[in-house]
Amino acid sequence: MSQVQLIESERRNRALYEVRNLDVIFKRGRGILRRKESVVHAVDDVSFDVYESELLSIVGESGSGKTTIARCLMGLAVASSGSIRFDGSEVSKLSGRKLLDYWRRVQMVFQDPFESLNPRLDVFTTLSIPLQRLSREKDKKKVSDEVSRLLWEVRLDPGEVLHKFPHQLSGGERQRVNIAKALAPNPKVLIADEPITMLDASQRLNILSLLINLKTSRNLTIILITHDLASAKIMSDRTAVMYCGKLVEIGPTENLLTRPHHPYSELILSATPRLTRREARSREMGMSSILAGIEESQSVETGCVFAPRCKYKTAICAESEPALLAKSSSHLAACHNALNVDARHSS
Amino acid sequence: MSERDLLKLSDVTVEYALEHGVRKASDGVSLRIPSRGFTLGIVGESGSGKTTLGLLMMNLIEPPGRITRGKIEYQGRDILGMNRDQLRRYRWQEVAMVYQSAMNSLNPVKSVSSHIVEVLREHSDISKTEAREKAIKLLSSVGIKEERADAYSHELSGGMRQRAVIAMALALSPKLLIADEPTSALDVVVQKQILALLRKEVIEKDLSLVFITHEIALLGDLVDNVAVLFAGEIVESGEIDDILFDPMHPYTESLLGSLLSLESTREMIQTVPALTKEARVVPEVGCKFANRCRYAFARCRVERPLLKESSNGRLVACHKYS
Amino acid sequence: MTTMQPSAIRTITSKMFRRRTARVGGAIILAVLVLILLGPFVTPYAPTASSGAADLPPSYSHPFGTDFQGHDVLSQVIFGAYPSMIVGVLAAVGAVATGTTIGIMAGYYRRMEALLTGTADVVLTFPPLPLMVLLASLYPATTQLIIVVLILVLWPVSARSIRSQVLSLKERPYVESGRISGMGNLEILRRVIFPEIAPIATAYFVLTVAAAIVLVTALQFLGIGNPDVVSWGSILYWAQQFAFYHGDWWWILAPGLMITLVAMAFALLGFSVEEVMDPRLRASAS
Repeated sequence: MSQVQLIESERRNRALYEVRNLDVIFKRGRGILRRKESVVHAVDDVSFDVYESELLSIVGESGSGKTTIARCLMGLAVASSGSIRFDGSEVSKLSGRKLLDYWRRVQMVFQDPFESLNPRLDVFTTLSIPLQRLSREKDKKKVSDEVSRLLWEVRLDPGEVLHKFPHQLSGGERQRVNIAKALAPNPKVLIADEPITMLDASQRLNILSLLINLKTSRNLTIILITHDLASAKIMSDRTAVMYCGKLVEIGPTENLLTRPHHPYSELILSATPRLTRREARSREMGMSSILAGIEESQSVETGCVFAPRCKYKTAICAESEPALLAKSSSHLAACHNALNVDARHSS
Repeated sequence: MSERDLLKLSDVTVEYALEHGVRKASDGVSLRIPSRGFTLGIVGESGSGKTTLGLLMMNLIEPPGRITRGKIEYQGRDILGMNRDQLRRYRWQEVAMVYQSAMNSLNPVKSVSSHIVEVLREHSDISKTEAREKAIKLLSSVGIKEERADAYSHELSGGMRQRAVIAMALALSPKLLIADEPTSALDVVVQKQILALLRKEVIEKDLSLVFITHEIALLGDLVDNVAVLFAGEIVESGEIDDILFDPMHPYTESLLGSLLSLESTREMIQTVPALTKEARVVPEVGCKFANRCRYAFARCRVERPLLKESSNGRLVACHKYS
Repeated sequence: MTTMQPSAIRTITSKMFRRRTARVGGAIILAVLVLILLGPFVTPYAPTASSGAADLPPSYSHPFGTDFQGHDVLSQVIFGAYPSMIVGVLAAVGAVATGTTIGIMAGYYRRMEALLTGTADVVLTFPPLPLMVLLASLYPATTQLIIVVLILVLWPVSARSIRSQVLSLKERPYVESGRISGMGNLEILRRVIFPEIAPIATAYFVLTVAAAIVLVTALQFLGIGNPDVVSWGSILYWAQQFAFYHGDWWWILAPGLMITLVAMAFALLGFSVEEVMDPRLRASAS
């Protein structure tokens, strides 16, 4: 039985998404995406499931492939190979009417709250479009009522914002409108691509708290794409960590953040700013931590992609690519020298 | 040894003339960088005027902005009165700046090393070879290896570009470095590296650092002192641990309360109230924070609190403490 | 049902006329319009009637003198304004309408892109005047033909610019965001693409009028079209043949001055629209 299926059997909820061997290849290099044989693997052989009603975070730096995966899940990008099955149907094969139906069940909130709203449409129009096109609601009164209801749901006062244009709203308000727009067709799944990254620190918590409440009130399945572990910690039950297109670790959030298996997860954890008292902080800032960067991984042809930056690497790391295996209960990592391994799972 | 402060801003007000009126980006701000090696973090939300402070220190305020009041002195000399030549020598050689989009404003047709060579040769009399040697050394001290010194900006990642920019800023060994959100566009791991790099420079070169950010959590390992900015005013300042763990001003309290960190939990974030429409208006009279403050009382609405020393020796602008 | 932002056109025009260039251009065009509309009623002489001695230099009774047959040059210039400008405007309308449509299609629909862009490039490589002369010589040169020829030559410029605008607009997140809300291609074209490029198309229109007037004058100057109908170009057609022998420099100056003024006026207006449009429109959306 494959590792992914092993976990499935431990679950009570069914899998809404089954992602298998997803590969997204770009012919030309873009920025800092990793190159392998003169092509760029934005997403490299990624497999995972998403369970009903769960909150899954996909964490990674830029170039990790997390946004590409989100776009593939949403049907906005096409994978080069592999499959994404949602409720039995292959997402990449959807088009026309079927694609619209899919978007009635799966919706997305984008990263840039301003750029994802049409500057020429006011809030009312922006929200009525999905109601009219996806939900196919023809009755004007019903549309109008639903728009107001959606605005209340995202904690905005319709009386104030209904006829405003995006440039008249604050960042937090715009993002709430985006969320309302995504909720309009009453979807089952919400994919949030870095929803708070472009907001002011003071607005972030409110948006996250809104998403959590919405998850409960609507029984949503939420897939959160983020580079920030703190959001992942608050928002999700399970977290997946991406590095250079590869899924390097996936497991229950609490376990992953307290006892990570993959050295990269450990690295991100240590780099996440914390509020600790002076006396308790370590002041070691070795040059090695200053030097190593994602560039080192760009030229890796064989073996583990993270090896050049890894302080635990051994000979085998340069030779063979580690497989994603369970290192503790429901918690997988792709590492030959995984940390915090549960004795029962060491290979 | 002179008793003068390295940099001193006295009651500085900056006004921007916009289409719909005049806006004060800085309102009577006073602060001091007393000596070398002094590190200060300036924290505030967007619109608080923190970038304006950085620009002020470099005397880079341009129309439609105007400095309508106040003095800025560098080692006792009035910066605002400097002529072009003096300013040229002041900027880059005494005070340098690194800002968020700097990594994107590198010249795409020049290698990073030639950027530094240009800076060196413009401001001092050294030969091309010497300049190049120095440039390579500078780049390697910020973590860019010699092999990559001649790379072009588009060949480098965001982190490396920002490091190159820091190298440029430090090329002429300034006494004060102003960093305005240098890591906002960077990932967490790279961010830590940049912060570590800055800390190293501070320690090794006795560099004074002013770090401007909206993320107060970044300041913990980086600076010794913090000034909290709200609506163009400094509302509280003091040592970092005092500000982080014993905030006095209500705004600082709310700032810390709305922090998202690994220590946050779901229960914690559910209790943060959203800002209402009324709360977002900054009143013309009285304390600017009054509409958002849960301690606000009558005096707060009529009299603007000044930044002064409270009974326990810390600087705060709030009527609660007077 | 749809509430759109307060007219971008109103914002542009108000901002535009704060600039001196626009005001100058606007004033000149206004003056010319008055000239065209009222002129024929004010001039004492008919353009084709012999109203004075031949080859008279500018004087009080003939501000622009007379030509080799004693016709008043000023009257000719006044009456000649209409055909020149009307052809220019019509040609510009056609060229920009065509260019905009093709530009949108090329930018938005991937499949047609190569063909349309290629065609535009080919047309652009031809020098306009010889091309127009060639085309005009194939058929009897009526006004309609001239307008068509102008359109064929002028459409690629706006098409290319609009295409690149559409291409960049297509990448905007709100296009995708609209698509996942169920917006179809036509709706996106209507709600997103078209409103954004309308200002650019307007700028191009104004500039194209300037170009068209110059080009049509050139054609008439070469004798294409009916040289007996009074237009600026036809004035120059006759002037070119006889003015030098007779020493009638005013005969050439008058229409030349008019054309230059009018073309410049439209160009100034067009530049102002462009200037106002680019950063300002984006600034108002912040």
